[in-house]
Amino acid sequence: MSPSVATRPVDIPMTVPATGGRIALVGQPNVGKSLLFRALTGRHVLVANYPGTTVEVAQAAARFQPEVVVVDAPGIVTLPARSEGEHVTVRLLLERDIRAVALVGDAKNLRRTLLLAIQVAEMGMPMVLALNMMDEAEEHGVGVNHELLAAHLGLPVVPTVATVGRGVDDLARSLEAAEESGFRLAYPAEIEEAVAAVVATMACAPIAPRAMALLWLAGDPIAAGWVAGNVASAVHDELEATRRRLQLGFREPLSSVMQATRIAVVDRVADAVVTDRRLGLSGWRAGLGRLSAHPFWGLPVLAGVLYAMYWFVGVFGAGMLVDALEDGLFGTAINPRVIDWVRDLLPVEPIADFFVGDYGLWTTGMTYALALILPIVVTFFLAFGILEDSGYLPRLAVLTNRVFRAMGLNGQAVVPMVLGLGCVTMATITTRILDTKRERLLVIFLLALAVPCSAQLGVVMGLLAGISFAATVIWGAVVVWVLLAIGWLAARLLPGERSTLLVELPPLRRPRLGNVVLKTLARVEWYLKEVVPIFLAGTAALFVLDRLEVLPRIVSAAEPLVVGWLGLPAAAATAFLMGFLRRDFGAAGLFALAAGGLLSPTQLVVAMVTITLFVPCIASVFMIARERSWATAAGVTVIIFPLAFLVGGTLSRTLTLVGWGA
Amino acid sequence: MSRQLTCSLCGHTFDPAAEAACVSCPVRKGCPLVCCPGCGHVTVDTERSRLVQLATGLVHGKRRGQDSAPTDRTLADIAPGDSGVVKGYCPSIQASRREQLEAYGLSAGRGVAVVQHAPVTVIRVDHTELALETELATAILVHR
Repeated sequence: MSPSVATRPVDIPMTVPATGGRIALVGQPNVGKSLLFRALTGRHVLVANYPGTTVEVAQAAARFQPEVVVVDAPGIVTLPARSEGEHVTVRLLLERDIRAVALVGDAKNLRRTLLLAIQVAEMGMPMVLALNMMDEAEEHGVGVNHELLAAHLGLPVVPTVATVGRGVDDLARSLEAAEESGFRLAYPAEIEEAVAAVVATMACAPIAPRAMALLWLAGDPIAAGWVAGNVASAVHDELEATRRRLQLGFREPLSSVMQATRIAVVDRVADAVVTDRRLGLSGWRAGLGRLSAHPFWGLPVLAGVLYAMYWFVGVFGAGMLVDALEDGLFGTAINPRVIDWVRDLLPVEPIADFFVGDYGLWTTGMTYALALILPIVVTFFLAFGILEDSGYLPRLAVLTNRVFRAMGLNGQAVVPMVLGLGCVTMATITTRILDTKRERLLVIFLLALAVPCSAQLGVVMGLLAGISFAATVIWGAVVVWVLLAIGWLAARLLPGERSTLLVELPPLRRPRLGNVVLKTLARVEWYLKEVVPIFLAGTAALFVLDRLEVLPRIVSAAEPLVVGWLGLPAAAATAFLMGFLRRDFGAAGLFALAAGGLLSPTQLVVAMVTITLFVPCIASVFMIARERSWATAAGVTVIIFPLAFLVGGTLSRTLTLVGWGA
Repeated sequence: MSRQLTCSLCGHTFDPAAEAACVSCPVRKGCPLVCCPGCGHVTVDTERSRLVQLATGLVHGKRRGQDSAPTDRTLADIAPGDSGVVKGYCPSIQASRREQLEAYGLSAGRGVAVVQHAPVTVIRVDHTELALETELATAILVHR
């Protein structure tokens, strides 16, 4: 990934005062870092984008030293940094107010932990190694002589079990007293010579100049950025020449050569300090873990998980809670009062309409965001948090990999795609979890095209069920077919290569309710801060379009297309336009037509397919623009618009030809 | 790398693709039989017949690819339930992918156990389970 991804103009300032400096929690993914973070900090956690990026970082005052802030850095597998999250971790380590690093590692996988630990130890900051998940290590028959390990590394090693808080006080004490590690690794002579040649130019680096030199030689993009910004360009050219000459001496990239040196040291240290009786995991967790990724039995498990999620988010959240909030609380209690109050306060009609009219900020924007989307978001995030903490998500990626592979993606795309069935606008943001820009773009496009959000899905399903089961099947088949076919085509047209799946399958764990709830709260806060303004902006745009009377003109321009090509009544054009503004409004408009007996079954199926594929709501277009660019948002819209009509018209002719629904 | 076949009659070892006595045979394309250049005896080229592989697999309880030279073995050739030792990587693999796999513990000399190959390959290295696509598994060289 190019470093430019890490410099997008979306940021919230980090506002936690850190007079006593900050402590960075660094570690590989799935090592229990976030739980340790919660154990080390107090209640007030600030989750915000790292400045200039779209990566969330949690910060909070340390419980043991209130003037010190603990930062939960994104997981990093190894250096140089590769993903957007890893870039943020390196940038954090390069900040001058980092007073200590707590390197969190998985005790049962000491080699992996050590590989990262020695890379960070080389940076010369005060550091403590927290060997977490000691309980799991014991269960696996792994024993670590942590005193001997501390002697090898020259830094304190603290065994911890974050889930029950074991060792957390020791870790806090060690962090307070932490000193610079004396750890230093000897690389092949050629590399050492090159380091000696370039290290003088990096004397003012925020980490040990030697570590900066090594990081830069290995091609780390963040180190490259620092060197480019802090070294005169003539000197920079000389440095580049040194690196090129050094590379000529090796067949493999310098980063691989350095890693080989580190792995040799890791093997030596690990052999000395680890005893491993190689007990496999047993019991329900191991059994369920195997079943859930099994090529055959994984599917019933998947079906069960999806059904439970559908019930909780779709039936309970999108059904019961939304009904209670939208019709009950907002429809009868809050909105009538707000409308009266605003109209009294602002007797000028256009201004009052701006807040409480048909496209009012409150009556449409806020009501939509709070009564319709918020319950779905809360239930979805609860379910998602449970899946996330249980370790099931990577298994979901394994099972669905084949489907996404056909679309030029890998199984990791399953998360935003499933979330899209809740709210496409939100799902657009979660494409950040994907590794490459290309994958993010593909998923954003497919979400906008063929994934109906829950609001729309409800209306569409209700309408189709009213005709016949066959109608629902035709609608589903056409939409899925378009998703697969266009995904297949887009993957081939979009430059770049598909990234192959490589994920860790952590052992299944019982999710801790407290952690799931806290995570959900943090995410809901983020939704309110980031997504609600987008809904409001969308509503404001709608209000302006309505006031300028642009809408009727667009409708009359679209009529020939709707009547002649799709074979629908002229009134359907209004519904389609409404569909752009709010997806479910569009479907609901068609609902009204159908209720009036104005649509035949064929027309209804054609209309439902077209509106499902049709451009997503205005909020998600805004979100695409914010996540990627306005050019992308325009491009996506321009491709989808004719495509939806092409599929709709073709379906209309095919259904008429075979005589269905006549 | 050229494949070697041993004639079941005379024991001559040859490359079935280039040296077989029947290279000019008009129906050779797709034919699973091959003539020894030494004695002309017709042997079955097991690599070219799925049915023969299936049959020998049923009789010997072995998986395809198990008889090939040890240098040809990749992680994808190890049967589920079996294990091997990482030997190195194919040069075709992206350096960054390779470094990532090494960081997960798949470095030369480390033991690796295969759990399953479908829908993707799942392996265990140390106490970590990793899921990786077959393309990656075929780029990891192993010996038993």
